[in-house]
Amino acid sequence: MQPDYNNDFDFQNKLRALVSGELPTEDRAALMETLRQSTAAADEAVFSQKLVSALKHQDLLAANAFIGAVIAQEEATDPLLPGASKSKPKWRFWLLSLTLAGLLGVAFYGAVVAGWLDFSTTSRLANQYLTPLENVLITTDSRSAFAELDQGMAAYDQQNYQQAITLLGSYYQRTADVNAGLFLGVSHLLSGDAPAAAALLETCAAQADYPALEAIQWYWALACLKDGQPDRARSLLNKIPADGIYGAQALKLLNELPQ
Amino acid sequence: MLPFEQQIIYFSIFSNKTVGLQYLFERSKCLHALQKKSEGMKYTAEAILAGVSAQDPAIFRYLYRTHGKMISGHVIKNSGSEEDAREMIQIVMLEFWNAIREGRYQEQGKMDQYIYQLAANNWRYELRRRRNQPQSGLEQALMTEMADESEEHTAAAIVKDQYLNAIHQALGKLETTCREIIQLYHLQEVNLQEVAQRLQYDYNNLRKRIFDCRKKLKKITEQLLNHAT
Repeated sequence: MQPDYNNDFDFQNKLRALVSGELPTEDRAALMETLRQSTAAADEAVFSQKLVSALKHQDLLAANAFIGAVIAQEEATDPLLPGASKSKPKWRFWLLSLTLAGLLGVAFYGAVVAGWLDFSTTSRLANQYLTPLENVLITTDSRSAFAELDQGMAAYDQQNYQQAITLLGSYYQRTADVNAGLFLGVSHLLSGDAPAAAALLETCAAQADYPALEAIQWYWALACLKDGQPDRARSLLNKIPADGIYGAQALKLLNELPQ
Repeated sequence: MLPFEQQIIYFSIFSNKTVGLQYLFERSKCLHALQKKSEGMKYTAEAILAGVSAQDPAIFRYLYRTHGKMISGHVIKNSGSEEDAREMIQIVMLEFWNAIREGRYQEQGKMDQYIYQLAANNWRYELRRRRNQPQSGLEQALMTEMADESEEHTAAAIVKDQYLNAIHQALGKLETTCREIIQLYHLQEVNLQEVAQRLQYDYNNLRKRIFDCRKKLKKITEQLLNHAT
């Protein structure tokens, strides 16, 4: 039967002395022999040594745990390194790549045929400038009257523009609120329906004042560009005040527009 | 996208004009966006030093984003794996924290170089360590005093040693008295008589208690290690 080294006071005292380097040479030789002959004793010795190290370096270990958590969090959201792909067989990678390439090819061809992809200069320019209008607004409370607006804006935040169009569209029809109209127009634009965006933003522009009007004009101009109406876009961009929020961007875009 | 501050001004005016609706800024959302924005900007060297010392997560995230690629690039270019690269980023960040804490790093406008140097030295050390034949497990565990083996590479040893990290975590799960007893007996090497006096324990009870605590600690450590694997 193996001795219980954990409860052996003498053994534990010797271990402590060994780890701290204070065990006399002859005791040390005897103890090392015991450790070589018994796995349980060796296991206790390793635990003692690690325990002392862990106690000595508590602050470093705490910092390590903290840094490890930060890295894990960052890796989970936006990894720097590609990750586990290395363990997958190569044939699977190639098969997946070929399938994906095939699907993309079919989708691309379909989009071109359906006219969803436009490679004109003005449309490319509009795409360069087109970024979602950030939603930093919420309603003061969650009264049921605003449910569609809140849900629509939530869908907009999640870049689910189709759902945003349905919900904001329904809310806009009911209230004719220009702010909702603006986000609805931007949703149309971001989902690729430039004519719908242009038509809606034009309606909103008739009811809005600055500075809301400026945002409407900016996105309306982008919609016109995407819709192949550069002259209309130019006219709208010229209306945006040079010192306004979109002033600098509008000026830059005007300079880049082909004459 | 508009500059964030401009958007705030913009929408504060915009919302007042709203027909039939009272819009309000969602404070937390704005703060979150501001925090994100501040994390994307370049910090001054002073801010980094202060943030590292205070273990500010934003600063560590910033360091990870700005230096992680360089560190991993160095490791992978020099025959390391992605796993090695990940580990090296953590080692370098811990080593940097430790250097600042111990006053070994003095800011002289060469932080990038210093971090690169840490990565290069630690990776060179790791390659050398791998080339040398390891001793038998027991000899290695007992004969090398882990942290004092080389002060320079303490961070590497800390990051790599899962057993050590598990014990540290297990210590945190132990009840306070147990932790105190273990600390006094194993770290400060106070003899049991004195520990009993300090903690006002009966000596015989303490003698039994210390082994119980140790046993409990070992059990939690093993559970954590098993859970990790």
